[in-house]
Amino acid sequence: MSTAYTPPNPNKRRNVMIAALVGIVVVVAAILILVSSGDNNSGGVPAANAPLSGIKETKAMLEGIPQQGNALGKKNAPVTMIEYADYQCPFCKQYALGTMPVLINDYVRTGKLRMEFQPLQFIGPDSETAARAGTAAGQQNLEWNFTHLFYFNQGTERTGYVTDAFINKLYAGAGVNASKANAYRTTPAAAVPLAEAAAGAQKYGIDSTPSFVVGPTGGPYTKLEVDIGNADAFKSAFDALLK
Amino acid sequence: MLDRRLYRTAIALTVVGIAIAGYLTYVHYAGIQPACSTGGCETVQTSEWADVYGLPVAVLGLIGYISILGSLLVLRGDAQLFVSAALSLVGFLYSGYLTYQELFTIKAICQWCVGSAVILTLLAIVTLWRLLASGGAAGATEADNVS
Repeated sequence: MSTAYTPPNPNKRRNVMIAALVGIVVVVAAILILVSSGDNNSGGVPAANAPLSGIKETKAMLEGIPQQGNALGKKNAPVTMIEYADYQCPFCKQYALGTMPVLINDYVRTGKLRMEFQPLQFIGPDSETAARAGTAAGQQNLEWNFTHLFYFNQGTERTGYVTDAFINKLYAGAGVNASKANAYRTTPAAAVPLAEAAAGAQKYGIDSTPSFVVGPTGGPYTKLEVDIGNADAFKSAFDALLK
Repeated sequence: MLDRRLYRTAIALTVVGIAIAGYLTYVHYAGIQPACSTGGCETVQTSEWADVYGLPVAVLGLIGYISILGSLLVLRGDAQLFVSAALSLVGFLYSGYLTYQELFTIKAICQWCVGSAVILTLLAIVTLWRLLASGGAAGATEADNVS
């Protein structure tokens, strides 16, 4: 018994190829989408190529509010609160991401309060690098964008994560002109606000961060002793001054 | 004749794709901001969708385009049709996903990313067209004779 030769069926062959194509494409695309969705930064030292967090939140929080150097809010706001903070300090991050947005929305955005940021550098060299970078962003009136984005992406203290690449990423995320800011942040002028912050901290007896002084704009200011997680405590202090 | 035109179109699209992905890779590693007329390039490029486990999407795109070009230039017959279509379709689906994230999650537009998504869409159409038009016939395509 012999079997007649059957030539390969082109249609069958094409159907097999298309079925294989669809299967492979769907699986590979699904894997790519799964591994790229969400924040895959494991914390600690931010990876050199790790994506930035908090860009949208920072923009939303600060949009439309005037900035001038290290100050946020209208110049003629009746009350001013000065924050003394260290970029590496985890409690500063906790305040910045938890309580501060509420205060900005309720008091700064409404023109009642003006905030100033004073960077201290007691944790280590990264604090000074970050503070200088923040001051340089302040030259473009974007210090608050830079600082808030920094806290969103803060790494572990004293790990040397505040590199040029890290700062450049923050500048990009904050909309800062990186070449101008980088040229400025290593100059002696960039250190002046740091010295002023240190002098202010000494004046008000500040030995931990974040610490706050508050008062009518222009002074005198007094130290505010509050739980940094309690927005109502801050609000009570502002309301008392606004009466 | 048609296959030769489609083949050349696919090569041209891939070269444009390599130029776009190459530029985005360069600005990423040079730490500079990309030229941007839409205003959202930095936002998109620093978003959580801008890399896959530390590998920038721009580099992933560059690898993808080079692979497609390689499949078109090196492979022959069914292997060429199949691999170029598969790679282009994966790129098309993935860039579609990223474009969705741009529009509805990040809410910022990166002209380079949109450009790349358009290129991948056209590549997917062209390579799939070649595959379907071939009728699954084994052996050389017309493009095999393009020197």
